[in-house]
Order: sequence, then C-alpha cells, then structure tokens
Amino acid sequence: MRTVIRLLAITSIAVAMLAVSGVTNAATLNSAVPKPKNVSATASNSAVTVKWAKAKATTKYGISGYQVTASKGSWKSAKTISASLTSVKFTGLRNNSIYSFAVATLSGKSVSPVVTITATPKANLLSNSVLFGQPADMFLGAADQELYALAAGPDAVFTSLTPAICSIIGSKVHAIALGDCTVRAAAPANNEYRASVPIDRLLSIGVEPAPIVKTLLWSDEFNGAQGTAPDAAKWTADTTDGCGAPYNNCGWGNSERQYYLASKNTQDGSDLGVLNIQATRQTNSTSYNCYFGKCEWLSGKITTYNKVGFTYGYIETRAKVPTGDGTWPAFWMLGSNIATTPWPGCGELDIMEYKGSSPKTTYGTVHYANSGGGHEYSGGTKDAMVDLSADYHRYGMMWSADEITFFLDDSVVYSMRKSDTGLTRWPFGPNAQGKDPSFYVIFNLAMGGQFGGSIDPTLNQATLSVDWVRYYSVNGVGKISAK
Amino acid sequence: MSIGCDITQSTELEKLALSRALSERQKMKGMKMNKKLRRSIVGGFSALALLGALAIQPAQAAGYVAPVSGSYVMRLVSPLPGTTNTVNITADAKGDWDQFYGKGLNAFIMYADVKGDVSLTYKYTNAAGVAITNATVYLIVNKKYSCSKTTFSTTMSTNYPGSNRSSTSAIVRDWCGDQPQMGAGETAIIGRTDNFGKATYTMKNWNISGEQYPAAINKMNQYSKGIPCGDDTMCMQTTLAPSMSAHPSEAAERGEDKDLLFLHFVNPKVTALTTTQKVKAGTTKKLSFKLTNLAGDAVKGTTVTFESFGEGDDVPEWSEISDKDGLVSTTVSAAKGTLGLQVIRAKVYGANKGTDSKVYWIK
Repeated sequence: MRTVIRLLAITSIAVAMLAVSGVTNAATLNSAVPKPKNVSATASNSAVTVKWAKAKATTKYGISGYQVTASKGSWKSAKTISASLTSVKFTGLRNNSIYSFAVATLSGKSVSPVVTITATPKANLLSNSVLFGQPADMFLGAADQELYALAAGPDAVFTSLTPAICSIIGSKVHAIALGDCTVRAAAPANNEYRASVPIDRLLSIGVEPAPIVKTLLWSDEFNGAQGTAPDAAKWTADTTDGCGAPYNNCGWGNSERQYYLASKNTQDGSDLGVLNIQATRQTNSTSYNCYFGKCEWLSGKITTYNKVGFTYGYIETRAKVPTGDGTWPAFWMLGSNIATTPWPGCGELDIMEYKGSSPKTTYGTVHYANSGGGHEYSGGTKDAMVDLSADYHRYGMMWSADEITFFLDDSVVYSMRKSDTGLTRWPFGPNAQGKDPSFYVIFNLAMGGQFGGSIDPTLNQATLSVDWVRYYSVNGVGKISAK
Repeated sequence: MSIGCDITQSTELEKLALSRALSERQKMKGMKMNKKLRRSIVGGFSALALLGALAIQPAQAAGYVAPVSGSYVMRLVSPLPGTTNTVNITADAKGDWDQFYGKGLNAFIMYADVKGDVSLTYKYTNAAGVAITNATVYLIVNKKYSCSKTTFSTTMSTNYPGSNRSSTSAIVRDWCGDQPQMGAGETAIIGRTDNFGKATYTMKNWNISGEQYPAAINKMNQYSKGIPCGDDTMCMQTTLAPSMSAHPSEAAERGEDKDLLFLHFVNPKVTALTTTQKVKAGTTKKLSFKLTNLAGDAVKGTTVTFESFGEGDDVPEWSEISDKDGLVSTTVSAAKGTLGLQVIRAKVYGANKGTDSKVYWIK
C-alpha cells in the first residue's frame, strides 16, 4: 500500500492510507467528515506541538479521533489521537528543518480531508544581554570617546539616537553639537543567541567652563611659638561663661557648661603649626564660677570680631575635632553688625559644628531672622563614614549674596539659597541700602549644652586643633574689611 | 587647594573593567562564554559601577554659578528611562496629580532589589535647556504624602530638619492615610551638579521584604498597582522627586518640570530547579530553588519559607537561608504505597506568592 499525504491542498480528494498506532489501516477519504479547525503548530527545541479545535460532529458522522502526520521529505510519522484531545507533540525532530503536519478527523472508517501546516523546530536560543558602560560627558570639540559594551553573544552595535547631537564612528562617539546625546548598544541575534534588549545611555555635550579662580586674601597658619596666643592682630579671646557685659548671655545661650579663658587658646610651635583650643575639667586648683555654680569645664574661644570681617568668597579651615561625648567644637561666623542688629537678625553661619556623641557627623546650619524677627534656621548633616576626630579634615563655606554652601573635604554638607527663605533680603546679602554684609570668624570648643549633650563623666580634657584658616575671593568676588 | 570631581576616574574604572572583560573575551574567541566568567564580569562591573557612582558624589567646592531663576527642568538620565526598563505612567498623571508640578512632568515606575544599592543621576537645566552647573540640588526621598514605606541609608548629606527625622544618615518611611505621621517622612538628599548640570544620588535600601518579583521590568507589577500604593502590604515603593529646594513649596514645584520616579523594591526571583518530577514512594527527594536579583545574580542570605501541600509525609512550615550561590534546598519523603501529587511551595519572607516544585509519588 502507498501512503499519500497531501501537504498543501486542504480539500484533497486523494485516498489517504494512514498509519494508526503503528498499525497501518486504511481509511476512506470522505469530504463530508468535518475537518479539524484552527490548526496550529508551535516549534521548540527538536519538537513541534500541533494543536487544533475539535471538529463538530454531524448527525451522520461522529468524531472518533484525529489523525496527525508529520513529514519531511520521505520521512513521516503518524499518530492517532483520541477524540477528547486536541494536541500532540512530535519530538526528536531535527532543528532548523521544515516539517509538514497534516491533521484530519476520523469518523469510524472515514477520514476528513487534511489540514496542513508547517513548522521548523529550533534549538533554544540563549539569552543575550549587553553590559554598556556609562560614557562620560564630553565637551564640544573633545576627542571622540571610545564606547565600551560587553555582550554574551554577538558583539554589541552602537547607534546614535540623537544624530544631530552626536554620531557613532566605529566604536566611538563623536560630539557634533551641544545637547544630550543618547547612544544605544544592542547585540543582534544569531543561531545561538537571541537579540539583546537594547541599552541606552545618555551623555551630555557641553562647553568647557571658564576656570574658577580663587585668590587667597587672608589666612592664619598658626605658626607661632609654642604656648603663645594666636596673632592678636587677627584674634580676640572671648572669655567667661557668657554672663555679664559685654555678652550678657549666660551659658552662651545654650546652657553650655564651660568657662572660657584666653589661656586655653595656644599655638603648639610644631612644624605643622597648630592652634590648640583645649578644654579641661576644672580641678580644685581653680575656682571659676559659672551661672550654675562652680564651672565644670575651662575652655577657649577666639574671634576676629572688630579685627577682620569677611564678605562673600570661600573660607576654609583644616582642623581636627576632639573626642568624647559632650564635646562641641565649632567653626562659625556671626554678622559683624551684631552690636546694632542683635542675633538672629545679624545672621549666623555654622560652617562646622560637631558633637562627640556623633563622631562621624558634621553639621552645617544657617541661622537668620524671619520677616517678623523670629529665629529661623536650616541646616544639613554629612555622615563622613569615618570618625572625624581621628584626623584633620577641611571644613569650608562658599558664600555668595544669594547662596551659602558648606563643605566637608570638598563634599557638600548643606546649601541654602536666599530664595529658600522666602525673604526679600537676608543677612547674608546686601541690605536695603545695597551694602554688603561683613561677618567675623569664631573658633571655640564648648562642652555640653543643648547641642553638645551629656558630657562623658570620665572625660577630663578635649582639644580642637586648627592647622590653618584661609579665606579666598572667588572670581574676584570676596573681600576683607578691618572690622 | 585641590578641588575636583572625579567623573573621569570613575569612568576610567568602568572602562578598565570592560576592557579587561573584552580582553578575556578575545582570548575565548570561538568559544562559548563561560557562564561563571560572565557572572564574574557582571558582578565586577556592577561593583565598579557602584564605586563610580560613589566617586561622583558632589565634590566641587568651586561652585559659584547662581542658578537661573524661573522654571527648572530636571530629568533622570541614569538609568535612562525607556520602554525596556520602566513603566511610563505619565498619562496617569494628566488631568490629576500633574497639577502639583510643572507642565513637563514625567512619571515612571522602575524596579530595584530590596536591600540593594540605588544610584540615580539627574540632569538639572533651566527652561531654555541650559545646564545648571555647580549648584546645590536635591533629591527628595519618600516624598510627603506618597505613602512610601521604604527606609534607606546614604553616605551623602541630607537636609534637616526634615520634619520628624533625626540628624543621621537614615531615611525613614513616609506615612499616609489617616495616620498621625502622614507626610512626615520625606528627606532631601543634597547633591551638587557638575559642569554638565548632573548630580548623582546614592543610597541603600534597608527594607526587610519587598514586592513580588515582577513578570517583566517594563510592566506594572500586578501586586503593586496603584499610584501610590498606599498601605497595601504587597507594595514597597518610594516616591523620588528631584528639586531645586530641600523643601519645595507647592508653588515652587509647579515651576519645576521633573521626572517623578516611583521606585518599587522587589524580592528576589525564586526559581525551582526542577518543576515536576516522578519519585518512587518510600524514598526521599531533594528539591532546590535558586534566588536571583534583577540583574540575574545569585542572592545569598535570604530566608525562604517552604510549605507542603498534597501527598507525601506531613511536614510543618519551615525555612532555609539561601547560600552564596543563591540556593535553598529541602528534602521531602513519602511512605511506601503513597500515590499522588505533593507540592512544595517556596516563598521569600513577606512574599504573597510562592514558586512550586511538584513531586508525583509513584509505586
């Protein structure tokens, strides 16, 4: 007997000799037997699954099953499927070869015309992904930049999605115009890998900015002899516990526990040249009294008040803060007009505040008066991730008429703009008469108080060491004044 | 004074990593890339990318350019939102909550690994497209009224007083609904734009459990629908908003065209190494599952809870912790004569949906 499979003609009238369950049986083609509907074939690795919808039985022809035959060239395989099923999977097929599948309905000894479909088994393609390094931003006119991408399969291909801004030359990106350049890396498909999901990166094409020029206008390197006070031409020591004239501010307004002495501010005479502000627990040999009774601590505070004033620019110190709970060193500024415009109207700029109980954190805070004269403040913290008391660090402030930014080792701690305050004027910019402000510098080491917190009872001394303080104008902006 | 931003250096690190990887690949020309090597390349690259992100924290003390007044535009440029990595829900905002922002508001959903590192770069320009350089800028995390339940740490500076937050590197969740702390959680991370107007923010997520792993990273997770997702326990998102101010007023934000990002933190993907198998009753069978993150890397140290249904010996609910290869395993057994299906379901802590491995006990 011959087995004839019509692969293309759905309405074949040829007699089909079909293999059934491995036994060759003859079935009579009968076009009145309803054909299966919605025949589909899904290819996978070395296999194809053929599916169909059940044929609708007629009064004369019931459905006893289905005949599905796979063939390729002279090879063929036929399966008889029960009437309740609507799919069959052929396995062991050769990948990348086209197979034909003929599906027919069986009704007793009769068989419907076949419905044919083809499918090509394919090996499972590997997933391909691209690692695409972020290109650096470029200045217009800069040399073309090499792009780096790594694909598991075929090499990634780069394209520019913004051809007016940048182009791709080989594996390099070329800047054409100012703007944002978007570059795509995608790996194409091959016999082993699927095409990758494209990865896009944005780089900006900008103009090289003019360099920022900083000019040193004032500094103190604290290179004086060992045990000497800091330069009296620059510094004045604030003393006492704040009670009494001229301060009239017991506990310095913060319930601090120290009494300031000028003798606590001394230069060390070393090659490095350091100002040490040393706090010591008061012993029985001294008897300074504070607002709360016998003072607990003796410490130091120096200011440039009435000696040097600063307006805008960049100021920075290199300092090593003390260790121990309750210590509260600070590098800060107050408005030189404090005598006529009391705090907070004069403004306060806390470039560095630190408390020993949080040894990795520095604080930068701006204090000022609101439109009603009440105290407002805003600040930020920087977690240095290291104990700041373990080494010297640089604490700085960039100051313009409209913006103040505090830094720790060049990283921003906090920044505030005048526009953030909602005020028409603030104490850090020109006043109503257009006069620029002047601020003076303060270094001190407070103990305890509202910010410093509880003092370690085992702590007997602490030192704020200042290597230097330097003041710069920035692009010509910034000046010092005698007061 | 030495002041400078190290973008070049970070890029060089990435280049070095990739060029080394490419070199390795050249050596293997004609060979299929070793999966383990590829993993190591991917891992190495990821680590370097993170280092790079950390290296480009704001470090330019030289900033002295006042921001341009008027409208600002701030766009997410890395990762760059696109159809393959984000769900664009900008249309959802139109005619509704876009009223609180500038007309150029975009809104995206993006997925991230719970307990993972996040690095986002935004570009800040004025309305004319001119980059705002060397300026202090902000990324507001757990934005007020967003019901963000996420917690983070960051090595970057943060603003205080940020309502209820303490002056630490911790970023706490926001609250929503009628809870008294509503709107109390937002924190502003402080950034500094470079010469191209870009600022990068880095933080680490500290939530214990995230959302169900998404079916696709560019499709809405069926378990986290809703913007924001409120107190839905299956949703773990933060609302992130770049800004020119640490505490922008409503009026100020209406002058800011920005890319609002809803970052959804997801649990690791759990894959059964064998999905269905026949096992002879009277024996035991070890079943293994693998945990992977969004990058496809193994996730170690995650607790996986197993449940058993159907036939087989009775077992109470139990847990295992994924190993360095992201694997967790359990062994099931059935007495002789047992016939039928036993389903072992593995779930990461807090997940509402598990991954099944099926055993058919046979004679």
